[in-house]
Amino acid sequence: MLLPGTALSTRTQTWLLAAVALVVLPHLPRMPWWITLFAVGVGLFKLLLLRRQRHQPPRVLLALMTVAGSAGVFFYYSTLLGKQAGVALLIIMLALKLLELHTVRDARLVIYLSYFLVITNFLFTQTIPIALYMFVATLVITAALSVITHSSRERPVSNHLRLAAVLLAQALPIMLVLFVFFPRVVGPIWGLPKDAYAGMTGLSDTMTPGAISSLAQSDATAFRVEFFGPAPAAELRYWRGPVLWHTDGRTWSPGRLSSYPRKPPEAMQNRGEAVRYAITLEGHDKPWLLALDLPAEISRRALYTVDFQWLSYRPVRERIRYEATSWPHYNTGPLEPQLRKAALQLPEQVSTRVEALVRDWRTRADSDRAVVQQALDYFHEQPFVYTLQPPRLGDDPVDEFLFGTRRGFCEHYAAAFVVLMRSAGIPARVVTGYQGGEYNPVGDYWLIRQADAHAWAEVWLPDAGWLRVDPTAAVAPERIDQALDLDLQAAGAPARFRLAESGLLARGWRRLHFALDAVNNNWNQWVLSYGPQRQLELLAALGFKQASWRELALTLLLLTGTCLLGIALWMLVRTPGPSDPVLQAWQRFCQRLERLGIRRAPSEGPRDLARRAMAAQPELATQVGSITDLYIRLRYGKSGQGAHEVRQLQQRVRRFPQRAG
Amino acid sequence: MQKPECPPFSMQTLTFRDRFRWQRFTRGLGVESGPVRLDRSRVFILPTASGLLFAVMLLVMLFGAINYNNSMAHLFTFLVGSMAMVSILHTYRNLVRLSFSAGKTTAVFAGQRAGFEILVTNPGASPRYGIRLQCRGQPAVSIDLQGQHTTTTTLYRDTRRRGVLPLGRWTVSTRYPLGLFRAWAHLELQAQCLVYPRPAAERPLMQSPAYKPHQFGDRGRGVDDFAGFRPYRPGDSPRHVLWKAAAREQPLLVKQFGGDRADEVWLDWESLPGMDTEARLSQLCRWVLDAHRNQQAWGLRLPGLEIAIASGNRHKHRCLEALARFA
Repeated sequence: MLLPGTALSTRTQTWLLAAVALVVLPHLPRMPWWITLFAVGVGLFKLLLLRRQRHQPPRVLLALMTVAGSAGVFFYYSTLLGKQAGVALLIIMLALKLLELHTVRDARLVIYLSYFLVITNFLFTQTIPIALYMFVATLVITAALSVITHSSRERPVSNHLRLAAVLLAQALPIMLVLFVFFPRVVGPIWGLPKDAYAGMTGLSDTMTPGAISSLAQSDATAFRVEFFGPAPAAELRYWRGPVLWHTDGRTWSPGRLSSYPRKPPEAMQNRGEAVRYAITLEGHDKPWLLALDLPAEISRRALYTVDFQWLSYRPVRERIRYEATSWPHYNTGPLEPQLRKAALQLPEQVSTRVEALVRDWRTRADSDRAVVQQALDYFHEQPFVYTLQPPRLGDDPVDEFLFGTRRGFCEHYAAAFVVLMRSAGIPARVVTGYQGGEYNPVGDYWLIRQADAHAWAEVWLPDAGWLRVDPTAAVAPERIDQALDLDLQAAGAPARFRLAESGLLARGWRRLHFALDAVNNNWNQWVLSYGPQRQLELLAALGFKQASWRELALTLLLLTGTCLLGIALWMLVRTPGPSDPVLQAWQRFCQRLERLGIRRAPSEGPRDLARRAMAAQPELATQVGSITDLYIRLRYGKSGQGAHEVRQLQQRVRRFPQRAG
Repeated sequence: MQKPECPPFSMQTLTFRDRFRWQRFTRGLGVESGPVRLDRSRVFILPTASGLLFAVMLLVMLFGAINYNNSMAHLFTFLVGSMAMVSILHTYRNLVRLSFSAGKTTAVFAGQRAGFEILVTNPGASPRYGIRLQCRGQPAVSIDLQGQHTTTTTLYRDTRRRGVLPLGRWTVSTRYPLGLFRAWAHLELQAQCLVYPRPAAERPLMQSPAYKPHQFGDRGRGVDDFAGFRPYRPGDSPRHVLWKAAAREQPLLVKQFGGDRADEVWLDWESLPGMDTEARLSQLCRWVLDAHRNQQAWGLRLPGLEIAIASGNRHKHRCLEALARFA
C-alpha cells in the first residue's frame, strides 16, 4: 500500500509516462509545432532520466520551463482560457509535472489530469475510432492508478491491467444508465470561450465570389436526410439556406428584410404532393435550419421568415434532428411593395455593357418569363465555363465575369443572373443552400456534404410568384444530376463530376463507404446527438410523459443501484469454495455422508471416516471404499493428479446416493 | 477489558439499532477470543481524501461536458464515475471474509516494543492486496495474501511499564484497488504480552548480603562439565541418555555433568530497603539477568513468593515473570 507521501519507483513512473503519452498523443496534431516539440521532448527526456535511474531534473530548470511554457501559450493564443489555449496549457503543465514526480500525491494529480485530458479530446472530435482509442487510454490510466495505489513484487503488470479491464467492464452498464437517464441540462452553463465553435463549416450569411467554391472543396457532412416517402427527383432537391437580397456589386448579404417573420405558407397555392422527411443537421454555428425547397412545417421551435427560411432561435452548435414538410411545387402568390423594392435593389454602378445587354433582351421579349429565358440562353450559348478555381475578379465583378473571364462557380452565375434580372426590372434574389446529395443504400438516407453547397436565383413572375432559376444548370447541367468529384478538380479547368462508377472494385469501395457512413450516422443519431431533446423523446417513448426532474433522478438512482447490486451479488455472494477439484469432490462426498447421519469429526481423517461409514451403511461399503481410496491416492499420493482419475472421483461422488433409502 | 459504555455485540443477534451504533463505527466490538472473521456487517467504507479530490474532478468534467454539450465527454465522465463506484465493491471485497487470530507473543522488557503475531487467513480463492494492519501510533504493516493462504505478520506496541500488556484495539484497512475508498474494521483480539520490568542500572551483586559462594564448589550437579555415567532414573532428560549404549541393548545410562561455577545467591526484595516498588523490581530484574549471565544459581524472594534456587533459561523467565506480574 502506497501512502500519499511515498516516493515513486521507476516502474510506477514508467506507467505514468505511458498513460500521459496515450492521452496527449491525439492532441498533438492540433497543437502548434512548438508545443508538439515541447511535449515530445519532455517525454523523451523523462524516458532518459528513467533509464539512468535519475528522477529529478534541476528545480531551476523546471521553474524556467513552466514560466516559458505559460508565456508561450499566452503569446500564441493571447489568452490562457478557451478550448485550444486551455488544452495547450494543460499539456505543458502535465509534461512538466512528469519531470517533477516526487510522491504518490504528485502521481495522483498526473492521473486525474490525464482523465481530464481524455475528455478534452472529445471537444475536437467525437468519432468512433477516437472513442475506442480513449477507452484504451482510460484502461491504461486506471491501471496506472492501480499501480500507484498498490504495487508489490507479487503483482505482475498484467494484474493491474486485468483489474482495470474488470473495473471498466463492470462500469459499462452503470455508464449506460447514467448516459441515458442522467438529467441533461441545456448548456452552456456559463459563457463559452470564443473559440468553442471554431472549425465548424457551413454556409456563410454573406456571399462573395469564391466563398462557396472554397466550401465546395470540403468533403465534410452538412446534413443527412431520411425521406418518409419516395425521394424527390434530382432537379427538385434544392435545400434552402440563407436568402441574399442586398448587394454592393461584389458582396451579397441578407439585407434588412430577410429575417422578417411571416406565417408558414399553409394557404399557399401549393401544387402536387408534400414531401415529409427528417434532417440531421451538423452544427454550423449559424441559425439556418436547412430544408427542402419550399419548406412549410418543421418539428422545432423556429422562426419562419418572409423569404421562406426556418431560422433557429439560437445558432445550431451541435448536431440536431428535426422533421419537416416541404412543397416542391408551389406558387407563392403576390409580392408586397416593400419586398419588390428590395428585390430590385442594384449596386450603385451597373456597367453600360450590362445595361445594353438587358435592353436588347427587353426589346426582343414580350414578357418577364421570356427575359428570364433569354438570360438562360445567353449563359448556355456563350462560352461560359463552370469551374471551381475561377480567376480573380476586379472592381466590377459582374461586368468582368459576363464579358471577360466567363469562368465561374455557381455563385458567379447566380450573382450575375440576379443583377441582370434586376436591371431588366424583374424582382430577383440570390438563394444559397445545397443541391443534390448522395443516396446511402445501406442506411437508406441521403448524405449532403459541404461540397454540395450551391447558389441559385429566384425571380418573381406575376403568374408564378417566386420561381427558382438555376443559371448554373444552363452552363453545366451535370451539376444538378451529379455531385462534384473533389479528387478531379484542376485549377482553372472545367469542373469534373462524379459519374456512376462501373467496375467491381469501384462498386465495392463505394459500398464500403456507404456502410461506414451508415455506421457513423447511427453513431451521430443515437450517441452524439443524445441531448436534452433526445432524452425527452426517449423518456416519452419509455412512458415518462412530462418526466419531472425528481422522477428522472429516482429512476436513475434505482437503475444505478440495481446495476451495482447485480455486480455486488456476482462479486461477493459467489462463495469461492476450494479451487482444487479433488477437494471439492471430497467435500461433496462428506456432505452426502452427513445426510446419511455420518458426520465427520474435525480431527477425523478420510480412512477413519470411511471405516465408520462402512460400518454404519454396509450396503454402500464398496462405494465408500472406492471413493476414499481414490481420494487418498489423488490427494496424498506422489504420482500427481491425472485428469482422468480426478474425473473418475467426481463421477463416483455424483453416483453416491444423495440421501438414505 | 470490556468498557462499560461499549456493550458486547454478537454478530448473530445484531439488531437494527446495534448495527447503527456509533461505537461500532469508531471502536469496534470489544475483545473477542479466537479467530475473528470479518463478516459483511463489520467492514466500514468511506472515501479517502484522494477519493474526494477525484469526485471534485468528476464534477469539473461533468460541467465541462454540459457546457460544451458534448456527448462523448458525458459518456466518459460517466464511465470514470462508474468505475469509481464499482471500485467501492472491490475495496470492500478485498477486506471482507478475511479471518484474523492472535499468534504467539514474546515477552519483552519495559521500554522495548512488544510484538504480537497475527495470523491472517484468506479463505477465498482471489488474492487480497494491500491489507494494512495498524495499531494506533505505530507504523502500519502492509501484506498481500494469495487465495486460500495464511500469513503471519507482527503488530508492535510500545511498552512503558511492566505487567501484562493486551494488544488492544487495532485496525485493519485497505485502499485497494484505486485508493479512492478505504474499507476498515476495528479488531480487538485476545492477545497479551508479558512485559518484564525495565532492568536497572548496573549494581554489583557481590555486595548484596545475600551472596554466598556455593559450598560444594565444582562438585555440584550442573550442565557444563562431563562427570561420568550413572544408571537411568525416571525423570532424567532424554537428551542426557546415552543412546549409543541403548542401541547395543545395554541398560540405559545417563551422562552426568559436574557443576558450573556454582555460586548460589538469593535475590531478595528485602535487601533493597528504602526504594519504591518499581525500582526494587527493576533492580531485581537486573540481578536476575546478571546472575543468569554469570551462570550462577539464584533464588528469588518477593513478599508472598519464593522461587527456590535454580539456574537456566526457564528459571530466568520464571523469575522475570514473577517480577512482571508482581502486584
